[in-house]
Amino acid sequence: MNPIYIAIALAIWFLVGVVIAYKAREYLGKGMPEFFLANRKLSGFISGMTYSATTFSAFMMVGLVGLTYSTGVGAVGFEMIYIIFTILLLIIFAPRFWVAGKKYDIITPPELMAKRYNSKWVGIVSSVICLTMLIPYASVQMMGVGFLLEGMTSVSIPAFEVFGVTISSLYLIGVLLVAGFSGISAFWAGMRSVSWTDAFQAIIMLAASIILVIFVFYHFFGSPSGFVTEITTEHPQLLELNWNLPMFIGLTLPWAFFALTNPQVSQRMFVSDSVKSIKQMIIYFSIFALIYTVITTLLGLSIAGTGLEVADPDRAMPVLLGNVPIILALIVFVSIFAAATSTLSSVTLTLSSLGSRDLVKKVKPSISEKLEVYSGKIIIIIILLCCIVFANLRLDMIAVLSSMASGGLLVMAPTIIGSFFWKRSTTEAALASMVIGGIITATLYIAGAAYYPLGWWPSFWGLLITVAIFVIVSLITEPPEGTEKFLNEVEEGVEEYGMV
Amino acid sequence: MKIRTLGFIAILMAAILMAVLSIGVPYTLLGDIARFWASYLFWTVLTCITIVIGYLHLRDWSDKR
Repeated sequence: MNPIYIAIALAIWFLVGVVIAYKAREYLGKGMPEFFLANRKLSGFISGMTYSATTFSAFMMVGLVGLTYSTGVGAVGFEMIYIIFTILLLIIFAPRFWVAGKKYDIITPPELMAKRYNSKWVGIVSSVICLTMLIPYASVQMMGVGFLLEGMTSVSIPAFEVFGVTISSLYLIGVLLVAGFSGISAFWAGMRSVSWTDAFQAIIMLAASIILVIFVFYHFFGSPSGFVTEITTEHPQLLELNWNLPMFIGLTLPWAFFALTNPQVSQRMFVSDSVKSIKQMIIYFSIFALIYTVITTLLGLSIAGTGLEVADPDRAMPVLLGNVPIILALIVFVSIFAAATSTLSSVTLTLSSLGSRDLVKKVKPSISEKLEVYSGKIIIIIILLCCIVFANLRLDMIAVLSSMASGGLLVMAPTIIGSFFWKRSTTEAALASMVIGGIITATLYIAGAAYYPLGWWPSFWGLLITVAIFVIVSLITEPPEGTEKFLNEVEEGVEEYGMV
Repeated sequence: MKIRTLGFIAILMAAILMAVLSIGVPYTLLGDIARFWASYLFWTVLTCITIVIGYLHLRDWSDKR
């Protein structure tokens, strides 16, 4: 495809995005809650759309499509289990996060943990884990667009080398475009501009995927039933569950707890303006998630049915887009770009809030709120630069890399769950489980599959060890001062707001 | 701490049930069947059931009483 078409499509999209971000800036007030949480005033629709656009990234239309194309129906289970648990976790935890956030003026999930465990170190450790694990995840968003640009354009621009790493020019352009727009969106008006642009992007993501799957069914297979017949008769192995159990659990476990352990989504439990909005957020997300997942997995299967030559799974979608009308390819490209930027801008904004609130503020408590916001903005730039470098290393498959990042974050699950539902849980247990669990999980991932004990994945061992440490240490130490009060106040708030 | 409501316990039970079903059924009964109505449909239906359970639970949530 001629890159001029892509440039025009992106320019139009940029223009709309920038206008939305600019309008959001008009409403921007002063202070941390305003910049990082839109002053807890988001409506149900915007909350639901920003939750959906943040959680569903370039991974869906590039990574999940590729994973379904290459490994079949196991990818469907992996993603559906994510939806099932996200709905249930949101019902259980969103009221508690929301009440605690309002009551104690909490802005970040690690800050909530620090409050419950009465220790700034709990906040610092969980922030460091988030920062370490989310850089690869954020970089994956850039990689998705980089692969797409490379796969879709017919021109070839010579690659070049930096410090021994070969960098493809088109790939780098894709990476820089995502970084640039995410930066503008997060930097300009914080959560308000990010959530507004997210809502716009979520609509584009869903609409484009629906149009694409309808086109693919009729163009390549004659009808939806033609598609079903083709896959059932010619590619039946894709409908059989051929993921081995350790791989399925290893990839699914971090996904199942994603809603709690990934701060860019758990922070969204703070932003709704009312109980009605939280309710709507969960319902809108549920419907969006189901439709989007069904479509992306059907697209993955259909690429196998088309017989198109695909070099590696992450290139399945670019190859498909090379074989559909230009206008449709452009709409889908923009939608994937939207998915990537919406996730990246949310991750960047959340990480910057963690950096300024849970690290800078803890090191220098006397810092003014204005300087806190300013330090957050500098952190946005630093994070984006780190992501650009990481994305250019082009490590491993997108799907596996995303799950690895969530596998690392999984070590925070016992601490988060225990903070609301086990009054025996202690500060020492939170710290020991996150630090030791984090080190073991990261070591196993780095060591590689050959070193996985009994063939089970690091996320499985990480969670098992983390739970064991959390329970044992909690039983031999004392809960921090104020535990009873915290739990009572949160539960009373939940009851008072009728979210029981 | 307050005693949990019936609705809350139902959500917890649903979480445990979903965890068992979503892995147990495809890996024991449906995994070898190369049809859309097997694992693919099973997971999709299970997600739909969760959405309905969630909706029924959320219906009762309302702003400050």
